[in-house]
Amino acid sequence: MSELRFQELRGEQVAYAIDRQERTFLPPAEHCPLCPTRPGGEPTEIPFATFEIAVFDNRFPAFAAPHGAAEVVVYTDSHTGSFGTLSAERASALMWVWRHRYAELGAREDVAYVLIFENRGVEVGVTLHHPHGQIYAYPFLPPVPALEMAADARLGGCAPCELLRRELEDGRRVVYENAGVVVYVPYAARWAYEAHVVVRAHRPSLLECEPGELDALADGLQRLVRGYDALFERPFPYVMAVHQAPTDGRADGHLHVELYPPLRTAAKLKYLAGSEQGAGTFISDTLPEDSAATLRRAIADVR
Amino acid sequence: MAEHTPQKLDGKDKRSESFGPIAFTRHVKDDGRALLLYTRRHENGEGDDTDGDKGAGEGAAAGRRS
Repeated sequence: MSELRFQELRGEQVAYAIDRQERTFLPPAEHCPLCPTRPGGEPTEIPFATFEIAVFDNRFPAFAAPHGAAEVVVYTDSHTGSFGTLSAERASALMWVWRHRYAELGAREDVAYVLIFENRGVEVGVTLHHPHGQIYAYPFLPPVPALEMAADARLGGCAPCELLRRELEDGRRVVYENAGVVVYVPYAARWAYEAHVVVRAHRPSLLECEPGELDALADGLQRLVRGYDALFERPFPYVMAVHQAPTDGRADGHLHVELYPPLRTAAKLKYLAGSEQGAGTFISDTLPEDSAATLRRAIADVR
Repeated sequence: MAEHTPQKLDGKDKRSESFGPIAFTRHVKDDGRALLLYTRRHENGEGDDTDGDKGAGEGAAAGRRS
């Protein structure tokens, strides 16, 4: 069971989930807990011989009822591959799974905010290689969505709508677009190849999206991560976070997905060091316009 | 489409529920944790389309408190 403590100097909650020290750490493929349970084989988290997409309560939860939830979303029963290599149909189905989990978890009284995310690569702390993501349902509003609410107030309306308008008007940082979403490296990106996938229409969450918009979101995300992999011709680590409206009724939101890749070159990582941790100010070696041009070419090349 | 070979984890038959173009079944693992298995629905009809998820706008009340 986790314990929340409030860090007064930062004005933020810290969750202590000490059982997570014992969680499975980079097991060999034959002992993967996210693979299906093969007949006569070792039991896994999913006691079925095959499956399409599975969701289950995390065995090592950072949050659990009656103070939130932590779930694992397994994209496929195949141990290899990634979000980027899923078929378009499966990626679209995954958007509907995300939508369903947001609806169910968000309706709970003990949940104020639902974060759907994926950590990809050991560089960002992945402990299982099987293609999967996670969902944390927080019993409080975390700092990042609170900052987005402050941005709405500062800009006098929906901040993602205004930022999307500015990015489209400028154009230099847009790396991909389709009928439903625009993908761009933000004007003030913190990471060299940070990218935001923003739904064009004002949709607070996945729940308000038309089916075609969910397909477009899946397409935009897959185009981006395939471009990432092509960029340095290696699996590209990232943190992917789906930003949606809080579920406690206190605020609106604008569905967008932010990706934070730690690589700044093929072999060099960006570390959060003195300025980032001690002062909260990112220092970047790369101009967003330059990395956007590189990323745009990489995405175009894998079409 | 993957073929499920469901085990009766909690001793009950599972009814498939639908949500837009996907269907899912709920299970309870031996240690009490929930497990949901999702499939894409096909035209020859896994589940039905009667649970009211119809796209833009209508889902908000179900997913967020006001």
